[in-house]
Amino acid sequence: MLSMIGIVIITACAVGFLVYYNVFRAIVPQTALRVQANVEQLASLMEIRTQSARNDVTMLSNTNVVSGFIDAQVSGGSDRRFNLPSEIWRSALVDLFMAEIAAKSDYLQLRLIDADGMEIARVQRTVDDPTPRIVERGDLQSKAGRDYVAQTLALDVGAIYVSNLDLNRELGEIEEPFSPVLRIATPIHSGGGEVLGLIILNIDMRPALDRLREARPEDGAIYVINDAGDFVLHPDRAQEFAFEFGAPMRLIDANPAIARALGEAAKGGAILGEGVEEETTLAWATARLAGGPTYRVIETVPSRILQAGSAVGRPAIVGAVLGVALAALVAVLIARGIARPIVALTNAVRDTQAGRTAQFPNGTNGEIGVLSHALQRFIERERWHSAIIETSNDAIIATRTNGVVTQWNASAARLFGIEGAEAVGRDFQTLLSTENSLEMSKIRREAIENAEEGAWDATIFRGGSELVDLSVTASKVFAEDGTLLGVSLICRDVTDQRQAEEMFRLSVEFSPAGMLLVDRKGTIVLVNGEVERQFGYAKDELVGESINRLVPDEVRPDHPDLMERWYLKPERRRIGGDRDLVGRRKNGSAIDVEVGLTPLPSRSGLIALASVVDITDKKAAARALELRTRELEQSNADLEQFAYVASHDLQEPLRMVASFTQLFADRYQGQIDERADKYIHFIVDGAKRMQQLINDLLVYSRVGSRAQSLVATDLDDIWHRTVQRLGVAIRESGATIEAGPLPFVMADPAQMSRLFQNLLSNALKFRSDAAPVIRLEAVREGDVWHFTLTDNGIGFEVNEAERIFEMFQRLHERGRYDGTGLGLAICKRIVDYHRGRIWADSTPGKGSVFHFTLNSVEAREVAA
Amino acid sequence: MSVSDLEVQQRPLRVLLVEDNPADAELTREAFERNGMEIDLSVVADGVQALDYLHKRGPFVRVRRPDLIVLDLNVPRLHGKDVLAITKGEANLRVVPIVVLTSSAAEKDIVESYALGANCYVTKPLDLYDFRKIVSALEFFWFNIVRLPGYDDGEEK
Repeated sequence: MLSMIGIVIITACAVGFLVYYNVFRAIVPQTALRVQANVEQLASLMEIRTQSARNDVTMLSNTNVVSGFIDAQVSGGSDRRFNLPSEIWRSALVDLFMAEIAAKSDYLQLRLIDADGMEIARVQRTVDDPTPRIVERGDLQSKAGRDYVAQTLALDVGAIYVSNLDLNRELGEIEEPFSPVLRIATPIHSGGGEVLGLIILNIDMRPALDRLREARPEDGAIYVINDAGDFVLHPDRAQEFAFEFGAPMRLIDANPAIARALGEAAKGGAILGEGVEEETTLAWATARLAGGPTYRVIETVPSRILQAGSAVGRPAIVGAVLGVALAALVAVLIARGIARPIVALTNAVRDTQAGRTAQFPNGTNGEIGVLSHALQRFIERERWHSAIIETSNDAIIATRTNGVVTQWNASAARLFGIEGAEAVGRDFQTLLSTENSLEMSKIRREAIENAEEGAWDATIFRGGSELVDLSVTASKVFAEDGTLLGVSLICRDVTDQRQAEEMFRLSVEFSPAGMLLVDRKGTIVLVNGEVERQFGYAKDELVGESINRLVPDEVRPDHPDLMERWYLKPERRRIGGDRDLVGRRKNGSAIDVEVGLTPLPSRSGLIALASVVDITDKKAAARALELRTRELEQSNADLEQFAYVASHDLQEPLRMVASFTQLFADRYQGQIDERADKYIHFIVDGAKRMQQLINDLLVYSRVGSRAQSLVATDLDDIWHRTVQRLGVAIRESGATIEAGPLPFVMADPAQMSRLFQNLLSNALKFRSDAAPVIRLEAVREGDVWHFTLTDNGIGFEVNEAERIFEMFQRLHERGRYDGTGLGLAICKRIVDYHRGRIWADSTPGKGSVFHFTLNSVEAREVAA
Repeated sequence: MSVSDLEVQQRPLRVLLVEDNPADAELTREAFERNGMEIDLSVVADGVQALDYLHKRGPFVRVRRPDLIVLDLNVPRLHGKDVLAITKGEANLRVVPIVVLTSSAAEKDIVESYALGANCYVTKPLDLYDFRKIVSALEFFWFNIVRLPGYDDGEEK
């Protein structure tokens, strides 16, 4: 705003001056200006002379001497500050006054007057006698009635009273010769604000006025008038100070044309053509005497003296005034237009620097608007650039060619543990810790010396212990003219990446599958450790060589075609799964492999990743399994055949023995004795037992020999059928048969039937003397059902519990209990076949408990 | 009952026994004879002979079609099941009931025999008396209870 006002004022002044100057230059002769300049100089001479007097008064009023004297005077003894008697003060004061007056020839009197208007010290020189002299105490006068005393005593501290110019009076009478005097006074106050008196200086103005008189131009005149227009200087000295003698003579009366031209203006110039004897050039200026009353100094010169002239003075001034006004108006408008955006722009820049939100005057038209836009864009771009660097995850460091760090962002601070403020301005090499400096400085040096820019790998310590892998990009920084400014280092933490790469490399190297990369020409690009192991070659014997090394001789001619075919339609493919695929080891032996092919896009085109699995063992195992399966199938078929033959062919001879023995007995009855009958009975019985044995063996052999599928089988139903089937034996023995609820199990129903029948028959057979009580129960235990068949039969010894399930094991002598000794063995075989368990315990004489387990339906479903 | 009926009924029943074991054949003959019925029992020892007999070929040109065939499965040269299959495959022989009398108790044999058209399947028991009972029962069943084609109407072939 200040600048705006300044612009307006300067502009207005400049325009006013230019208008005034131009008009004057055009119409007022150069000499008229000289009149103006002359009169101004005269006015300022008067001012200067009186101004220095005013300063002297102020100075004197502030001296200790003045205040000390007054203080001592008032207290009637000594002053309060220095405790010196007033006489000493007076003498000091008078000395001071004397020195002052002696130094200034136009100083008439210096007085100290107390608050009552009584002079208490006075030093003076008179018009007649210019020697300064101290007025005796008795000659001191009371000035109580004088205006200047009252007026001065009423002033504030430091204020100055300046009188009008008048003629000096002594004891009330105007002194002769007339001596115009100017009085300058200032009040003396005590420290508490009490008015103690005043100090007053009378100046003889004659020398000053004489100086003006001498300056009177040829045929011209110089006047000085006071505010009222009274002459205090006039070519005719009788006219001066006429008001002092009761006959005032004023300019308006003596010379009305000049008075009109002057008007109230402090200074100016004019050309008078009318109301005067001849055209006169007029100029005036104002002098303020000692900052007090003003007097106008007027100079008149006949225009003829000034060589040229015309009556255009007034229009020039008017024009100038109008010009100033107009210029001020325009300047205000322009200044507003210019200054405001500039101020706004300045503020915006200041705000930006201070980091505050900045408002750019972008709406402004013209250059300021463009400038503002450009500046804002520039600042924003600069901010962007700074922000990008500062917030980058990469450590960004800039160094000069001499190694001094100029930029060090936050990431660099974190990485190297050195704050940016600390780093900038220091030498890069000595800045870093020793272990880091070595590597980093080397990179920087290489970048700068070898003209080799690019990426380096480096490993540094963070915090002294943590190893950090870096990828460092070092770039030279050039000025626009190609001068090398320095080197920038961008350090990226690639620890995780490196670790991942290392892990990846290791996982490839130690993959349980062989890994090969093979290019289209069939050249091996990469192999892992497993390939070395599989094929017996070292890596360097394979890399760069043809894949044919690993291909058996018989396949080699076709291999390139096969590869090319795959490359024409590259896709993930597994080869060697169902047909034999053989690789060739270094020692020439064959290795059964399964190969997965994956096309990999690489920089040098499509490349094949082959993962090779050694399936030699798997193949051997498969072959062994196949063989065994075949053997087992054959064995089963043989068994089947045997069983069939046994069922058919073994029975026929038995039948012959039995039938014909019986036929023999029948035919020859009565002709043979009783003993023969007994023998015949043994023969037939033996044959029958043999038949039973064969049948049981058949059953035993068939359990599990045929691929029977297990189905959900209702054991409740099977149990009831079994009980029904054995109805005769049960009735004959008078047995009680009981059963709890029985579940569904996954089983072969025919075998379950056989199991129940054998167990039930067993229980009936080995009954005690008591009527048999037989009970079957089932309890769920996890995925299996636990069955218990409890009887009250004869039981068996605990140590026989295992043996009863073996083939042909009989616990009792033949004849007492019939049987082949296969019943329980068949039971065991059936339960085994169902992946259950069968066992028994017993208390001899009390009964037996047969346990067996079978898988529940749910278990099977889960397993399936 | 007419005179002709009576006459017809007097004709001995013709039974073809296919059995390679002479002892078994003897047992069977003995069992049939015990019941006092007049049975014309012919015995052949293998499958080929059985078919020759039925087709009246070779030495069997003059034989007559049997009223009942008793067939052992386990016979030489041509298995009993093949005999069964061929016989039941021919229209004029199909009508002759075939009793399979064998020592096999295998489920497989039983099922297959019926599938091939056997009229009944009997396992030879070990006990002589049981065997006799079975033969009697067969005799009674086939010659007294059921009616056979070409016998009751006195047809001769």
